Amino acid sequence: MESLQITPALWAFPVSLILAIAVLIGIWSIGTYYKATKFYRIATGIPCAVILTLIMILFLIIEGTFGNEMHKTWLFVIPAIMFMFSLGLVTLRRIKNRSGLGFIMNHAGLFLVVWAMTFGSADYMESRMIIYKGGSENLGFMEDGGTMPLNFHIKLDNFRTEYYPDGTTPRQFYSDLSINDKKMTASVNSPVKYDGYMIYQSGYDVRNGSYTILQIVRDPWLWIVWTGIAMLAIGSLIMILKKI
Amino acid sequence: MMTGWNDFIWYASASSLLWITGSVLSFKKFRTGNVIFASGILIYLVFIILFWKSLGRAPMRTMGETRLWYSFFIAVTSWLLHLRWRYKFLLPFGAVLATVFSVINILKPEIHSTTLMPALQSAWFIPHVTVYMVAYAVVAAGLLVAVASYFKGEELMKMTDDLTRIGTALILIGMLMGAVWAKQAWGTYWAWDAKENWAAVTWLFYVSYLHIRSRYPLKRNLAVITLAVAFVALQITWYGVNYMPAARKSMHTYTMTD
Repeated sequence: MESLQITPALWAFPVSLILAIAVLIGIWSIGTYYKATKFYRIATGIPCAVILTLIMILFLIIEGTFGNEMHKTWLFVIPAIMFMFSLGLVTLRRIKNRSGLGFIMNHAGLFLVVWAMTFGSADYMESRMIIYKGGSENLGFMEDGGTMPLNFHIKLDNFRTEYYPDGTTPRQFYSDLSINDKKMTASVNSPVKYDGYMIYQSGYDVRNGSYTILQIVRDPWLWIVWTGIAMLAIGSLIMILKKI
Repeated sequence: MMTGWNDFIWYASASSLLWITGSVLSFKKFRTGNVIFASGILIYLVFIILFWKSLGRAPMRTMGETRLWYSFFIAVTSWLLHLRWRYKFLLPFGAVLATVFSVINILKPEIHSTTLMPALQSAWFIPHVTVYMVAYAVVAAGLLVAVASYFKGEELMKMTDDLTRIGTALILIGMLMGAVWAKQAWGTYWAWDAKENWAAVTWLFYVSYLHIRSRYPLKRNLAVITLAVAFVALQITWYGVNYMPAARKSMHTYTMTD
């Protein structure tokens, strides 16, 4: 398994963007100039779509059952890229034919999500940062042991815990932060945003609340995923409305 | 006055009785049967509302609580679809399935704590769970109609297709809301968590069914097998996943962290 591991850092920006655009150009050229080929006929057929879907299902079942990170191996990534191509070609054909808004929304939306997930994974950065009350910090620690320095400091003005009426079960955790004199409060389920970074309430000092643990996330491809999700939502609603 | 699981048996028995009576009656008297069935739904709803008020939070956190909604939405969905499409067996199907899930809740009472951990306090919580419960009820109806098609005629598959299309779309909407919520709570919209992976498996099986039906409309057995497998995947997503090795790392098993 070790040798099959992928290293997303290999295609970090700008390689990610170049590869992603290359995939779009590839799909567009096949769908425009090679429509008469057998490859195109097979790749855009339903049997191909179903078989690729079943392969995706197989890997998701393995990972969902045993928790091994299948999605970080070439075994998963190669069929996922084939899935992406097949989906892209079918979507392009329907867009060119201008037929079926629901179909286009569902297929194009899923394509965008898979596409942005695949290439955006290299540019996704996440780290955890410990800040003591009154202190400030600009260095986050990543899961692989590396560090993620920010070009601003986050100061923890206060950390607060809110309890249920029983007085012992926590209801919510708040970190009052200031960044370059800008005040903001992060709590569970409501992160704050600064300079392209999302800052999450992630943990705290369980003994006496003297420090907070923040999660710092950079996800520059996120807006493409949101676009795909919005299209899928519209496509699903169309599917339902057509049947009621 | 507090309403809790101890009171459930009374409301559930009354509802089940009305559902079964109403569905049997609906064969002879459409209107009366439907009204009686609806009153069963109403009683069930009264329990949910009183229970919700007593808990001080939405009853959507434990297995028992989600099964409460499952019974409720199966009853509501089968009632509405019966009004819309007039298939006679829809009401008895809804009555039996809703009753079964109520009985499970009575026989296997689970321990409920009255508080909700911070990660679950989100505007997305209720729509996310509700949409999934409706989706589960709709695809369950789809599978049952598919089985019925072997006895009552293949033209029933048209109805299975309609139900499964609606159910698949709802499953996707539930999953998308989960993704948006996950971004808010955990920093990433997809964490390759066991429950997420199985949810994707479930959705993809239903998607496969729809594609198989559109390409091979005459291969009913293949389609129905796919639908049955999808339903098994759905059960695993819903509760089976908690028993799998991968669940130890799962962010979706809230009961373990209490």
